[in-house]
Amino acid sequence: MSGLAIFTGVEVMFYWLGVLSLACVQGLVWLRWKMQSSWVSLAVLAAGMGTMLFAAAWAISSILEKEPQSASMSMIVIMLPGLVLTTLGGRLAWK
Amino acid sequence: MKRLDDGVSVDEPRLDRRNLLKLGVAGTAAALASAVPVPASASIIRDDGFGVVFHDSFPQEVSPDYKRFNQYNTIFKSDRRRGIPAMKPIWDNDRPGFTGSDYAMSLAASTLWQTGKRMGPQSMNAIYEPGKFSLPTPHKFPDAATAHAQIKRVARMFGANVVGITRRDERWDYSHVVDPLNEKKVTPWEEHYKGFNPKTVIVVGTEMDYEALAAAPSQTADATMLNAYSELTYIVMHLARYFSYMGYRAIPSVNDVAMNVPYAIAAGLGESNRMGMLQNYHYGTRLRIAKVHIELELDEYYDKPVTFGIESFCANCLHCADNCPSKSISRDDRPSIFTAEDVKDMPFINPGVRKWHLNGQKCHDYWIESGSTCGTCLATCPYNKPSFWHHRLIDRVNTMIPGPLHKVMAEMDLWHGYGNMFDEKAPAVFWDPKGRSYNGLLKDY
Repeated sequence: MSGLAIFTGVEVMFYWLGVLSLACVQGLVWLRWKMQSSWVSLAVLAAGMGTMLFAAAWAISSILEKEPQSASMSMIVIMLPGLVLTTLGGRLAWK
Repeated sequence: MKRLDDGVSVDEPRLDRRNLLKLGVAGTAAALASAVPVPASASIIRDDGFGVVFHDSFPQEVSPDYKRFNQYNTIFKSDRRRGIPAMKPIWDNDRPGFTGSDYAMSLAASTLWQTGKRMGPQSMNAIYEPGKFSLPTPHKFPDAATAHAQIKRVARMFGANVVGITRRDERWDYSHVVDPLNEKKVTPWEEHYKGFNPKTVIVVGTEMDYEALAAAPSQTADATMLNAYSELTYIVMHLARYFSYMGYRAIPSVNDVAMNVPYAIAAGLGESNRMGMLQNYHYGTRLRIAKVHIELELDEYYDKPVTFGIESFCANCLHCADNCPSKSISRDDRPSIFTAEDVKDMPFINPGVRKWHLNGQKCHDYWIESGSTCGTCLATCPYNKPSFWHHRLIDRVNTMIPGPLHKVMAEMDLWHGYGNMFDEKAPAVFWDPKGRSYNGLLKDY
């Protein structure tokens, strides 16, 4: 995987994860500003989204490393708890 | 269960739904436990401290009865006297990792290593004397810090991945050395190198190819090991020449002259592991080491021995011992000091240092039997990983968590698909051209 024959796969991945992180932060700000969501719910949501981003980074890196089983495991061991936290935080925040 | 060639079996983790559920629970528990502050009792689990710990003296206990080891007693020398070669490579075009191409690559990789022993006064293990183009008076570095910086920079330029500088410690030099071209010629170290009184030892390490080593045991894996030895030969010969041009006498050596592992530990390149080998922080077991003895003495030696929880990790992991086809690796809970009595039937073990002891005879017997230099223990080690951010993260985490969690980490390594030895698909991964850029137009990974 290579980006424009300039960047490595890991570099491209972290770029897009940065974009996604920014989107997550903007979402949290919007929830606080417009929906007056509680800080606790936002903290749970942030933890969940952060965990999911971490899982995505792990999975993509594992695929680049040619270890697909590691990518699958990251989906189960990291992504699933992240999804649970995100769902919980989202339901708490979305009043 | 997977049957190996010699009938030895190893357990393989099963990945069914029940185990997946267990894993999810284990992963959550591990994550929660990692967030808990380490209790004071953790010092029982990691005697050396917390995180990466620097030591002022050699970090392994050395018995007052310790005696210098005689190179004559190393397993390679004793087996050679019985007519057993160091290696007995084989090829089989129907067997992945043992094809004619793998075989030829492996032998070709050793070219410089073999040639380096037969170069007259420029040979490995010989004293490199200052010559015609050397400085008329030995070069003086302005201070020890500059000397460290410049020597390490030179070693890196010659190709070393890691380099450390330590004081010469006679305990780690062989008591007697064996002539590499005449196995029967054995002379005391001080007589063999008469008049040479080294003060400093530069230890260098070079990494082995991850994908090649993952194919162990095979000729593919042997190739990266032998290639590392050839690279080390190049590095230490050039480094010794660097010192001789500066006006200092120097001896470059890979596995001769002295024992590499204790010198590497003293130079801060890593910790001793269950295999009795060097565990480097960055490269784990995927590192080969060599050294240069030099007469230059520094005012100060800045590289301190380090420990980062390897003893605790190895006590809980056992992947190397589980996967070793010859059962050469100790399964003891903790390292121990062997006495002369303990090793009376195993002269290839040097008693008097607290460590896990490898049965070199069983190990080398398997080398000959398998037609490879095995390397299964090196490849299965959870610290043997390519340079990806998530592995560096786990390495960092492992220095901070207490022993029981090391057990979890070792299990997780298997669950993530690592450490799978005797994998017939591994050589294909090494040879696969997909994702590689050989013309420089793209970047790998």
